[in-house]
Amino acid sequence: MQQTQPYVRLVWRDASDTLGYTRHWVRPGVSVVDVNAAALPFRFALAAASEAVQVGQDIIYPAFEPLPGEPTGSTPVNMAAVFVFGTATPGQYGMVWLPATRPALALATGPTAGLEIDRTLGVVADFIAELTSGAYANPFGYTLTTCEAAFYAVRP
Amino acid sequence: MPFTNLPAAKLSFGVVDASGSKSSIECWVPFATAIADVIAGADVLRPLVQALTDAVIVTQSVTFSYADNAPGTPVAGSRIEEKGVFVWRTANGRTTRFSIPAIKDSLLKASGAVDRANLAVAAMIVAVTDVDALWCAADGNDITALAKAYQRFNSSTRNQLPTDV
Repeated sequence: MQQTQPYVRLVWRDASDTLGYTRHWVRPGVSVVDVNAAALPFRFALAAASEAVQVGQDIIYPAFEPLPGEPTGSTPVNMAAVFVFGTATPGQYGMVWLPATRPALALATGPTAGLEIDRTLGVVADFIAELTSGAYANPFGYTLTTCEAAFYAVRP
Repeated sequence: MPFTNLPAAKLSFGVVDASGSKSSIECWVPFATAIADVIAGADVLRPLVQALTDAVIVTQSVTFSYADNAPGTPVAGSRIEEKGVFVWRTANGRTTRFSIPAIKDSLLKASGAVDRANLAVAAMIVAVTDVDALWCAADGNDITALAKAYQRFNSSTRNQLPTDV
């Protein structure tokens, strides 16, 4: 992956509740904390020139694959697997959708054959182990600890 | 504008399948995770994801989001489509630009040009061109001066049309 220029995206809202976005490039290698600190006076300066209000800010670090390979099969992206993760906090779960999941990862026998992902397969176990290593969380910040279920689902 | 960060930052991989259809895989990391650590973690996770999917990973992004829980009220009649276009000169002699939505009419001359003598405009120029400022062009070159600034009306997209028509 080749990292490209990070940027700040500001989200604006006008009197008709329509949202607009502006993009502002920042120097690479600057931490999120420092970008956010520098963005504060910048946001004020821009806000003083607008009749809309700022409602959100994203700090985005993009990257792209300069030499992507070819898809390894014909599975469409909406044929996805969903992995349901538990956390140490009751009632807090996380979900990861995996588009174009390889059909060979489904259980071959049993009542959930063809539906459930075989979590004993090495490649699946490695993926789960990484996501439950302590580095990943659900959108509410609760660390993923276990994989509770994994199955095929058609993603709309 | 007291922006508050969301609890987690989003790591997203963009994928494309054999038909050219695009989708994405999204995971989350605690917001306090350093960007260098997120990218290093993504380098580990990406091949593990690639081993499970027939699509190919073509992009990656890490997004740290903030929201204003008590935003102000937009000026009545303000429209996102009414832009103030600011074109900036950069250190390598090229230009870069951004547009401020719903530009205040009080910042404009009768011609539609932005009044650079206006205090709010002057303050913004300083904020953008300050030599120690963070802001630059997409190629990483420093923004050095305001080249031109003017009012422009964009066409409304379907999503920008009034909802009560």
